[in-house]
Amino acid sequence: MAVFRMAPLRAARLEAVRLIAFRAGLGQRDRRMAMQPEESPTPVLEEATADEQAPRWQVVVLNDPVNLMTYVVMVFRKVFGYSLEKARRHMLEVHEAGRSILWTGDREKAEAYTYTLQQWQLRAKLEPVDDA
Amino acid sequence: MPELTFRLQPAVKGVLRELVTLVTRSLEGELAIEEEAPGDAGDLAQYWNEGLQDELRADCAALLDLFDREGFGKKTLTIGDDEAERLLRAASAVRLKIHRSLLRHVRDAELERGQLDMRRLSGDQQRAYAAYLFLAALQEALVQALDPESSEVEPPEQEN
Repeated sequence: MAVFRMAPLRAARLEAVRLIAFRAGLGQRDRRMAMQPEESPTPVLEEATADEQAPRWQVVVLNDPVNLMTYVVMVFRKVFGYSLEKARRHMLEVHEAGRSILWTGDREKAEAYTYTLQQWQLRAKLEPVDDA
Repeated sequence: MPELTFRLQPAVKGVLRELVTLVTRSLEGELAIEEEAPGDAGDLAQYWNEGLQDELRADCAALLDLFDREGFGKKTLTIGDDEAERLLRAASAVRLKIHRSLLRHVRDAELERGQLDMRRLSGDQQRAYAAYLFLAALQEALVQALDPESSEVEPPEQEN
């Protein structure tokens, strides 16, 4: 029973991820506006959001030898609205330390950012802050 | 809107297109990146990966369309911003796949510096590396058009 109840909830969550990721991918500079869903697809989604607000999550990008530095900087600026200097700093951290924490916050938004970064072919992953 | 100018001999363009087609076909049903969906829910992972695969398919289709467009390799083409973003992502995906499949023996430092000794590569690897470099040049041109500031970022100095 639990499995059948979970599936639509997860599907709804992913639809929200896609919606948010799509908005984030538009390059809007106002992240607060871009990352706040204007409408919830289902009431179930609202429950899920409320349940998962407490734990904090971080979006981590890992190094790869393929993606160009200029490309990575552009993606960070586009997805997060970072300044050139901040995007460059994160890119160098990825390059030199192997990873960089790009964003920390609630799970829904962290999933959306992770999904969008993976869509841009970056090695992004989600981590709970406590496990870092 | 971004403008692309590449001068390619027809034979070179043919080789690049063939290789890019092969690699994009090999990406059917898989992802170019190694990272996975958040691993705490199998059903979410399925939707997550299917969504990324759909996007990747559309991105790769845009890249193949570029090769088929009249004038590509001969004259300047103007492309839309959305298409430019698709081309950027597709180029990354194909480069990642080439790296993982055909250039996996190459040391990362060599690849990052673009200092491969072509004599050490087989014919297939040389063609793959040529496509790898061409797609990097395509990405550089697109980044410069879409975000000129980012395109001016200098790489860190190498330690030797």
